[in-house]
Amino acid sequence: MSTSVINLVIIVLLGIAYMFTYSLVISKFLNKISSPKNTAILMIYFSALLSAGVNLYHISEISTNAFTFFFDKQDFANAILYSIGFFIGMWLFSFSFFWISFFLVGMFTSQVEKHELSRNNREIAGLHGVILITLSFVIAPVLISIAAQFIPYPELPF
Amino acid sequence: MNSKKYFNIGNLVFWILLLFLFLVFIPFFGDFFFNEKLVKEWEKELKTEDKQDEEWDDTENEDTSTVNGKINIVWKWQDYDLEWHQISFAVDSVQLNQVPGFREDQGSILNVLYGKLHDNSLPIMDPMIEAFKAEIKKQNYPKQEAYMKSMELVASAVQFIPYTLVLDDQEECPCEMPFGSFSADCKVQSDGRGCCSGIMPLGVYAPAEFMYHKKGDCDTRSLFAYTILNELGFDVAVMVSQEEGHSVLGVHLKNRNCPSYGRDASGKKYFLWELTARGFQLGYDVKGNDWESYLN
Repeated sequence: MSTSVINLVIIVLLGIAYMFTYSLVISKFLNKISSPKNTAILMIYFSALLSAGVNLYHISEISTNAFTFFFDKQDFANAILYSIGFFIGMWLFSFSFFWISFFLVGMFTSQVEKHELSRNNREIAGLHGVILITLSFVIAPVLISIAAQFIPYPELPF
Repeated sequence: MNSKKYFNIGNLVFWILLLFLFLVFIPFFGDFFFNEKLVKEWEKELKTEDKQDEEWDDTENEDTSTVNGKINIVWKWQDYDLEWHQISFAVDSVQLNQVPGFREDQGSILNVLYGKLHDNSLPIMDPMIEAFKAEIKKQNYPKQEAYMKSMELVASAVQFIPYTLVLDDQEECPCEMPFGSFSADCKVQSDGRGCCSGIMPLGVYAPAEFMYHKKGDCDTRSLFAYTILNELGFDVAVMVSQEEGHSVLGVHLKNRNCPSYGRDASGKKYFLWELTARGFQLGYDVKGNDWESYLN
């Protein structure tokens, strides 16, 4: 019971930090393209947040697994470190992924995306958003399969 | 700062981050790029190419003998690496004869039945559990692999035994099922077409019965594997899909993320392990979306 409650508190805190810092960084970046944000930029912004949310949903499960695994072994340092590590890893991935999506959209269209976004091209923003969200749904489960392998197996019980 | 400059800096940050991620991951994938252990494993695989997946020997089931009221039972099987294993152990013949009685007077509530069969079989199966323990220790698995390899050893032992359909008194052998035709001799057949009927209730043998006569379909096997692994200390469950009319072993692992899984009443995730045929490893896809733990 206490493990679950402590894990819940950690997950909530890390989740808030993850979303807050991510939205802050993305918002600042998008402000450079157009400030105040136009509709196209807002579409990209919310898509990026949703994509990060999908990644957060997946990583929280692995983080919980790592936390309970180490907490049950009374290895509190690793319990915390693994949880934070997974969240930081996923944050970096979400951010990198956001960047990659610009290259991907660039491949699909002949226009210069940043110029189009600043001119409120909602079509290109929609395409970018769909790519971001769809690929998050596809990539996140695979990514956590890799991340899960960082948690060791339990020792042989006999 | 204009947007072009910002993008150039952002681009640089992106590649630095990617490089950082790559550097962080290198120690974990170092073994993949070059590793002596891996080379040795390849060597081992090349050597095992000559090894064939052995057919079930019908005399296998007769590897029992009775001495001083004790029945000696032998289990012989190949694991996933096609290595042979053998365990032999003696169980009390009087106790063993009482096993079919475990099923009598049990209701037809599946999870209650599984629980009773498990509890009643456990004392009789103690010598087998000890034999499995000794066989696992004998393998001297590397510490990091020991947990998974030990479970694989037990699962492969169950899978090596050909499938035998077990029916209650609602249906009779021989019969035609959506997954094939089954004969009526209630014998383990190498083609997996054996069939036993009239096994009450619900067509499930007790784990101690499977230990002795090696006849069983999905739920008998899952219950048997559960009994062994649970007693050895692994976090396992008997998983049932009503939709598929099927049962498999469930394994709770924190460092795996398999596509096929079910949950227990508290929401704990169990990955599915098919035991009815050889070679099915944990993580292989199992059909069905309504898997629930019936015993854990």
